Amino acid sequence: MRISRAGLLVVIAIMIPILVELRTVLAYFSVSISVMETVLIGALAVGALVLWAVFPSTDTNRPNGE
Amino acid sequence: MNIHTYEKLWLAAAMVLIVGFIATITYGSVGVGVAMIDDSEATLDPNDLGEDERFAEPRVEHVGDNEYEAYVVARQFIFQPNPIEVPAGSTVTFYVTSADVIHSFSIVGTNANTMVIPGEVATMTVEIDEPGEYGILCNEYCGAGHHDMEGLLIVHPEDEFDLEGEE
Amino acid sequence: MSAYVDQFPAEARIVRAAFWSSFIALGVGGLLGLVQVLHRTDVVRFMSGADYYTVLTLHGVLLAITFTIFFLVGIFTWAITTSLDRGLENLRFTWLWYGLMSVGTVLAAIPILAGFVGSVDMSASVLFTFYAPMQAHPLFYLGLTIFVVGTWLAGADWFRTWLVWKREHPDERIPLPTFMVLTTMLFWYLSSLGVALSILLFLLPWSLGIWEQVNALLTRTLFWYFGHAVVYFWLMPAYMMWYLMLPKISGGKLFSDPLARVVFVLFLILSTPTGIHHQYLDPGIAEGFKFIVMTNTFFLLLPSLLTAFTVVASMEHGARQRGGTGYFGWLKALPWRDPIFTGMALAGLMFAAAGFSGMINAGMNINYLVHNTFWVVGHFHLTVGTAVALTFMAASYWFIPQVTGKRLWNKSVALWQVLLWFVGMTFMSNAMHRAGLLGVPRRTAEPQYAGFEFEAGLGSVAELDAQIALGGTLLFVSVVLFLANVVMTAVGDRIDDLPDNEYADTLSGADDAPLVLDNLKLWTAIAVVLVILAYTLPLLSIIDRGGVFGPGGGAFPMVAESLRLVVVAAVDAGVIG
Repeated sequence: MRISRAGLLVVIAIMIPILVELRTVLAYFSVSISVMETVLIGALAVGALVLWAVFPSTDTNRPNGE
Repeated sequence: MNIHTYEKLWLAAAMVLIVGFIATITYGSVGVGVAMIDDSEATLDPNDLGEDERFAEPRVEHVGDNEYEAYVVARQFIFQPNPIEVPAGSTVTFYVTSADVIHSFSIVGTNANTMVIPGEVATMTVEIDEPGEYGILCNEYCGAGHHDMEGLLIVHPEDEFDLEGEE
Repeated sequence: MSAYVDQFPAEARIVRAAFWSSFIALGVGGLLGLVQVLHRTDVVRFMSGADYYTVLTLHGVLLAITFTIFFLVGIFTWAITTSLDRGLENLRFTWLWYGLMSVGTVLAAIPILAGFVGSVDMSASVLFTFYAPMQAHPLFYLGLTIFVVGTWLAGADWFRTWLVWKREHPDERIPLPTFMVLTTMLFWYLSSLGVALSILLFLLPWSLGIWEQVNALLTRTLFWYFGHAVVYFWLMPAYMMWYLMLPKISGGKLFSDPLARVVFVLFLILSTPTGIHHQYLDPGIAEGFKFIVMTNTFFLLLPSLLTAFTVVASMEHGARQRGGTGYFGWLKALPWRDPIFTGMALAGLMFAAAGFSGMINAGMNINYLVHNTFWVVGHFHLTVGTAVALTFMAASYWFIPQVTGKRLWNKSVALWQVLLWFVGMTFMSNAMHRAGLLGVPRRTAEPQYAGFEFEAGLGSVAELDAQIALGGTLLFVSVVLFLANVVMTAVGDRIDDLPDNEYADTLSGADDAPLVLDNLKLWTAIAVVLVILAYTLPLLSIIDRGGVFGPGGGAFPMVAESLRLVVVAAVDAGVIG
């Protein structure tokens, strides 16, 4: 793990408002995405994050704050 | 008292932001001309609306070229008159009062929105451009049937509009 | 040093009692919130539209008044005793005010609950704002009065303790936590005077039949004289937690004690002469008064922006003490596993978002677009519903062990709980704001109209409703997890290795703060003068226009409408009559 499970959880939680607001912001620029597309983008982003967190290069140096 | 340099900068930026906000709103009032609901109309007894020449018979009146006045009464749980009919491209001044408790008079999807307080008359001048139908609702809780309180503003195309009793 | 319960066992009892009262209100209020959110969005409807307003009244009163204020009297008692290092002067007096607050709550709740029972001719479905000429049962007004008197005596208790301490320590600065309590209570006295006058002079006698009518605009204005300051009464204890606990939990110190004092002084001065900003769209109040109040309101941004700086700077200091480096890298070094920290940090983050929607509300002519729409509900669920409520819940994870002497039952559940609140509120509040922009009204049981539809610029109204229902459900789950955690903690075994009862030290201490900051008389005098300036003319003008008792009109008791419907149905069915 690159970051602790708690840290991962917090990052995912903070991503949610960004994903929710993303749709509104894009609509402002005349790019409309549907709810399903937003959910899909969200799932991909969270999936990528989890992969990044779970498969580290080395496991020796845990960051501070666990 | 020693204040950190960054904090001083932050403080200055905050003040600029605040003054900027106030300036924006002032421009909206003075430059764009968005007037606030005010105290221009005298108070009246909500029990005596029947004796008030404006509200005894809630209606729309043609008062000038493209100018109309709408006298509206809000009461549990209706608006009178309903529907309110005006032509497109007109300027309408709404005079709204309540026969009972506090209501609001809000034209959905626009910024025409005012509180309606018994004893007071809210006035609001609105420029009406596009023909169409606009919902009117009460957005202040006024009793058990509050959610049923609605009305309609019908904006007719200019050439098709004909106010009753007018030649 | 040791835990609070060992230092002040008698005071810990009163803090515990206040917390439990608060948590009961949170549980009931949270459940009603779920019922409402599902009814409004038409997901599950098992009650009449009329009963919705009874539920809403109870939800508002229990969460905005009971939950918040009981919790804050608990932490204020902790703050006074801990920072002055002495017990309260007379615990019987302390229990007296706690008792008054409890009795007041119960008395106000009786007529509200009676709204559900058709056979009782008593109701108070007047919502949290109880605007006349809607009329509640006298017990409702009486209960509110007794509750507020209880909080006044609580303040007297803390002032008295401080004055005794001051005699023994004539040359010492007021400790920061005590300073925060005293300034907060001063503006509470000043602002609650408005609602007390409104109830005692007008609403209570009127509900008893002594007056025939009241001035709707006057009582409404007196309500908002109190109604905006009360939000700072909820918020100041949350600020106190951000100043006193968050830096310590982050591993560092509070950035600046003097600026913390400045912030609290600014709230004392500015929180009351702003109330008319809730009345931008009221007829009968001149535009000029509205503008003055708007200016005051925007200047109230200053202490909140200062707080944002100080709190983030303190967190960064803490993170760097823990080995954090880099421009943003220090964020990684913060104790995210700790629900106390994470809860408070996320509450602060959401408060920043709330600040932006608040600025929209505060602009008097922009306010036309959002006034009384669902936008406003989205706004205050970020402020009192997150900045305050989430901070209180996170702080509880520190306080409950301190006042019970027991270990927190489950730290992981606590972390899930604060994250769920954050996520649930993201969904709910975002959709509420957006629905408000379409014109969807607040305080409406069934905002589905026969003659028109709301036009969504993006997505659909159904989609917004679904998002609100999802968010509300997550929030309810979060409340359940919170209550489970504190109850399981309370029934656990006493332990001896509790952390010490401490709050954050400061980088720039009280010695850096000019002495004038501690001159409470001066600041109170300025606050009073500003209130007089902001309110004398509007109030005189309202009375001059409509008279003290208004230009006329009757009383509209909010007797359960559902009862009438039942009777009508019964008559139709030939059961009676």
